[in-house]
Amino acid sequence: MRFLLPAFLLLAAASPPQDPDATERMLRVAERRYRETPDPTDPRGAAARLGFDRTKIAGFVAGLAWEPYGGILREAAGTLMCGGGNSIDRALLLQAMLEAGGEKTRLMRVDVAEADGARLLESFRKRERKERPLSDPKALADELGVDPAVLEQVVQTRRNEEAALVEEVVEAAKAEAARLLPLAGAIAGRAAAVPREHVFVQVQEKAGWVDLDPSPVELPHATARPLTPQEIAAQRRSIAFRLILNRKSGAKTEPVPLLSVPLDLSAASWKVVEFLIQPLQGQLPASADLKKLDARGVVAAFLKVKQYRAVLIVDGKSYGGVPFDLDGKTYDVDPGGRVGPAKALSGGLGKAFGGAFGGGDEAPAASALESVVVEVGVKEGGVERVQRRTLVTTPQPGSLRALPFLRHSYLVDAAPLPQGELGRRELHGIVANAAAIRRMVKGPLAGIHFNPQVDITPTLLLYGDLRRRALDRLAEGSVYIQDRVGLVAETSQIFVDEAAGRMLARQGIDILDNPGFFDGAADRTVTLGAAETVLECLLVGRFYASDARRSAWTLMERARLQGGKAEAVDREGRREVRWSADAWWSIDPAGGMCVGRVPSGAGQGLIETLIESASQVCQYADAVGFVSGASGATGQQPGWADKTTKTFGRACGALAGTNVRDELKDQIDEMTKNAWATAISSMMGL
Amino acid sequence: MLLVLLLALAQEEPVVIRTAEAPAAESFPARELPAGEVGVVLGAAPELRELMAAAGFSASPGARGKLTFVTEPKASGSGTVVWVSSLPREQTAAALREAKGIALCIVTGRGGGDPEPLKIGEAWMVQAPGSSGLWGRIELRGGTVTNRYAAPGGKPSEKVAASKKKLGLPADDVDALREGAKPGGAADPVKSRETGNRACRFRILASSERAAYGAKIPAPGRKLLVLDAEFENIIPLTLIQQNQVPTMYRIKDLADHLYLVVNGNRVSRLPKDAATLPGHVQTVGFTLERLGTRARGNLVFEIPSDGVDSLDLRFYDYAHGHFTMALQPASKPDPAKMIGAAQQNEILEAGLFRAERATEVDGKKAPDGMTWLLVDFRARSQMFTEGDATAFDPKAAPGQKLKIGTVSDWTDLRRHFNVLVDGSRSFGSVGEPEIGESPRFLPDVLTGGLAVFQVPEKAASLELRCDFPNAKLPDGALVHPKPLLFLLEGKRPEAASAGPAIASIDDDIYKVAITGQAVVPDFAGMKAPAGTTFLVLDVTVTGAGKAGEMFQTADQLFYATEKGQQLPMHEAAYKGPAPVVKLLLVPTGERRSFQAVYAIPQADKRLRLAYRGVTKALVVDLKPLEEAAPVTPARRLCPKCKAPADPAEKFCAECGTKIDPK
Repeated sequence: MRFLLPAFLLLAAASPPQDPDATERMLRVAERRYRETPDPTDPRGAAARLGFDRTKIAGFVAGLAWEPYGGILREAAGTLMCGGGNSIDRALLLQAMLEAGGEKTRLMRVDVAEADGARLLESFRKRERKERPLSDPKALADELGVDPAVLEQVVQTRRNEEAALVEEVVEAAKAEAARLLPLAGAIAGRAAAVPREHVFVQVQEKAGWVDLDPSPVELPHATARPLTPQEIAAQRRSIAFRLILNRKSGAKTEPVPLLSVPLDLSAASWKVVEFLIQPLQGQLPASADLKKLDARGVVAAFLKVKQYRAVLIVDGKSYGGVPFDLDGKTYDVDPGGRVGPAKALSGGLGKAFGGAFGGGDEAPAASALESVVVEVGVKEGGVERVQRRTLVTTPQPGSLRALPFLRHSYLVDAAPLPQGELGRRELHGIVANAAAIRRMVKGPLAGIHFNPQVDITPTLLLYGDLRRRALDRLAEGSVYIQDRVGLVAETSQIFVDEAAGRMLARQGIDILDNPGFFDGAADRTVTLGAAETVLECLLVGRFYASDARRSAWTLMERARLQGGKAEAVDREGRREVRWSADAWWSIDPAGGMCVGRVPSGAGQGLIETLIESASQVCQYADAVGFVSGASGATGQQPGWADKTTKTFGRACGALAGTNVRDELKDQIDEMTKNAWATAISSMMGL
Repeated sequence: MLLVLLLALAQEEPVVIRTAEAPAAESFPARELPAGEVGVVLGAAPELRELMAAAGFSASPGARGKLTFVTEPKASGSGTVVWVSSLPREQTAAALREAKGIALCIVTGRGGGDPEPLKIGEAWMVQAPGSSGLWGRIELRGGTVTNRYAAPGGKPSEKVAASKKKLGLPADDVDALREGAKPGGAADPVKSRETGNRACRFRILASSERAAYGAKIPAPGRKLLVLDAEFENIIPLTLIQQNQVPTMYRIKDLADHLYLVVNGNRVSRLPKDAATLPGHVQTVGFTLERLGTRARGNLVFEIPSDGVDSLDLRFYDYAHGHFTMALQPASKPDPAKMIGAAQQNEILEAGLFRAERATEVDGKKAPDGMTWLLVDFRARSQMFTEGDATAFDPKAAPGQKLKIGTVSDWTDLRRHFNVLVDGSRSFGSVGEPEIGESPRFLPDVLTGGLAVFQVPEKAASLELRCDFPNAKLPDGALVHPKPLLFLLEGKRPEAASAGPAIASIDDDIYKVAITGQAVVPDFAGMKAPAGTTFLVLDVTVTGAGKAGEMFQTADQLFYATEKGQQLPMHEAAYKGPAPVVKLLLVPTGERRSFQAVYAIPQADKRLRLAYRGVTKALVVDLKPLEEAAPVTPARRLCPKCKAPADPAEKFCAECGTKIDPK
């Protein structure tokens, strides 16, 4: 088996290209369309399209939706992308657009009388929501040089598939909500809050400051005053990613911060956020050597890994954590990047933040790793909501052993993913990898470098897009308000089944926080929560169709189908409805936000994939390659992830997570085909 | 009974049932199940029956191999009985709890997504794959039932393809699309406006030409080019797992590194007030903190309102490599050619691309006796610094150093950039020179601008003289660059043999001589103020210092009236054919001539010049006017040698002959 891979590579290299000219044309069209499509997150670009004309810019912002939520949630870019926001987010957008034209501006704040606030809410509730018209496939067919009828059919097929999935999700969610609501008891419908303050912009002219207020309702400015930088900062939200190692020394449990990265929310919203833990350099054999091992040999190699280190990549910026081992020890890192000896317990904990350069003199004391926990904390209005996930615990005999060898990709959002964003960002992935696709089609194959991290992962984007569509279907005239930060993760982690001598990759989607509600309609909010949980389960099933899965959704249904009795309990301010101890609905009684949960704390659709052998290129490469994906942002590649793994591991990730299990030649063709399908749907979705 | 059956099954080959649900003809793959696998489809539209059958799937009850498919939980059959339920899962589960003899139940997976078999009563319930487009694979082996979903497999099938064709569908829509695609015809790949060096990625996201940028208004005849730009730190981490100390990318002042070259020969720089411009990229203390950090903002450049053919952005980074970006490629080559040979010194290599007289510039005529002289001066820096060769040459060995051209400034241009007439009269440029007051020259492009001079119509020679103040080289050495001289017309006349000077002053680094004197009622079109007359003095200053020195004409030369007052020069002095410049550079060994003009009291007959110099301050007599009353006794002559002698002198200073005091 171990000789198969090189043989496939040779075969692939010798095989004639499938359709290089047509693919080249497709890529050129994709590149042109991507570059010509205005970036909806770019206020400067929007201002340029309006000729930096103050009146036009003010009119443009006034035409965007006003939405009722507190504080800065979307910033200028998010407000532009979502087509609306509250008064301060809209003012920030207006300010950014005016400043792009060189205008000097400032933000002004004024109290809003209750009657005026009610008028604002009224305008929000009455606002018509417009769906963007679908693109015309004929023009695209002309550009691609393909039969318009076939193109239309391809597009229609994809649309039908997606529509069918949305329909399936909505149908299942409604049925679940109908079951759940009587069990959950009284849930208060949460209504949009009446705004108490209003923010607008002033522009400096020779004669003084001039008001520019894009409010949908005219509001008095008589008592307005400038917002200070401190006041603006206080309105901002922040997000912090933390990794904590809990270790035991005697009877005492000591939490050790391994990584802590606080960020302004705007630095992470709708940006690529990747959290990885991977073995230190030299801890795992090179993948070429790994491939020579049999299944038990691979297991042994993975179990030999002692030292790990976390890295967080946010929008291309890397933040390294403190190295640790499975005994709960941590290690110093010197400025040259070299890892020193293990640190003593309680030594230099204060220095651990973001990297420790001190300590290490004392001999390390005996310790034991109790758990490794990742925390995502979102601070809003001075209060932090923390989501915790336990990644690794002390191995229990007979159970799967989780390794701290994982990747979490996050979608941090401040609103439902707007229409068109899925297509635009998927096309971004194609365009950014066009050079690699060209080489894949035309050869030579050596040195192909795919970078799947150019945008949010396709799984999360699709989740975001389908969620919005489900939300629209569920709304039926009600208005949805997102007043908090949404957090969803796509997770991958390696597990070892020591007894069976096999490796497993567990992949899934984890809804950390569902942040919105339907105005005054708790039942719809509950239904939306159910829809999100169904969606994560069904999407995981489609993306990683394989052997076994465990999601809150399926566990609850299994319990019910097996005759489990419903039970509702209140815990920590949430109402929990369950049919077994394996999973439950966690409902916020003050609004109806709900999510399916499993005991680890996650609300996740998971799948376990057996890493069988090196011949299953994508499968294997997924297991190893996903952790090497950090290289896209750092320009560095772990030594154990060799070129073959890089190429195909990334390729699999780049093209919508496709798992191709055939020979490489077929894989290339399949990937090219996927590139076509993705590019076409993306361009039609723009 | 069931147990016996399952035990029997355990002895045999596994039974494989493939499931599909709610298939769509368009996306159904042209594949069929391998022999031995049994296909069951749920929720298929009637018109797809033939297609499903071709692929090996059936919705019909009945016996298939060792299996009997039933549609009711109470139905029975031989072998393994499989109930294909049309009920929802909850109802199916309830029915299964009561059912007898059912080994396996296939139920809809719509909205379920759970492939794992579930034991209910005596039977295993397995969900079909819903609308996912996947196929389920149920395997019955002995007492175990497994199921998983997977992408449709099986061998490619002509039968299924033919069946799809009957429905007007291709075997595979994406394949059909690709196969039918016509190659070529696509536009050239779109070039992104992105460049960079090994430390910084640079992108232009948009550009616009504007008449104003907020309150900032460009100079007349100019407009603003506003570039929406983004810089990104791409300095990689040393080691991905261990190194957490990213490298900062920092530039003291972006304006010293980023230039816009217009038409290939004019440099436009970022404005000095960039820090106060809203939306502008931070120029001073420009920092990209860590890998991935981006800085986005505007870059504002002034460019000519008309005649812009090409625009090149040039970024000089001596540590990480330079980069350039053609924002607007030239449509035609620059028609201007260098006149004569380039001149060079320690800091510049320069040449002239135009040098011509004109009677009118911008609609303005030159005064009588004068013409305009237009000079297009361009230069490039000759200064070098030493840097890391790998930043510029990937093949360079680590640690190898390279001489890298760097920019150079020509400070205080107005004083150092002159046209010399007849080798002695110096004319500075008129108005604001296009080249600027302190031009910066790039190391690799000849850039400069047009300068306009007003020069006499008649001249034996015209030369452009470029002098330079002391310059500090990148290695810290201080040099006084040699002047650059360009002969524009004629030939410099030999210095006229100096006749007797009316007055002369030796001030160490200068030698000042008054070589002519006239009293006139008007000068350069200006009348002398009432009660005064113009005294016009021809002054020649000769440089005698170690380097060129600045002669401060207005501050060093005054007219001393008979009553003891000191009068400054009249403004007419600046408008004559040999005008005065307030600060006149007098290079060593060079002569500079000009006409000093004073409005002196008409009554003054005894004329004197007051000199305030470097080493001395004194008043020297000029030629008195003829009507002047004798102040001192008339001079006598030596009776022997006829040399003049003062009345008080008793002996001749020349020959020593005694002179009669009478």
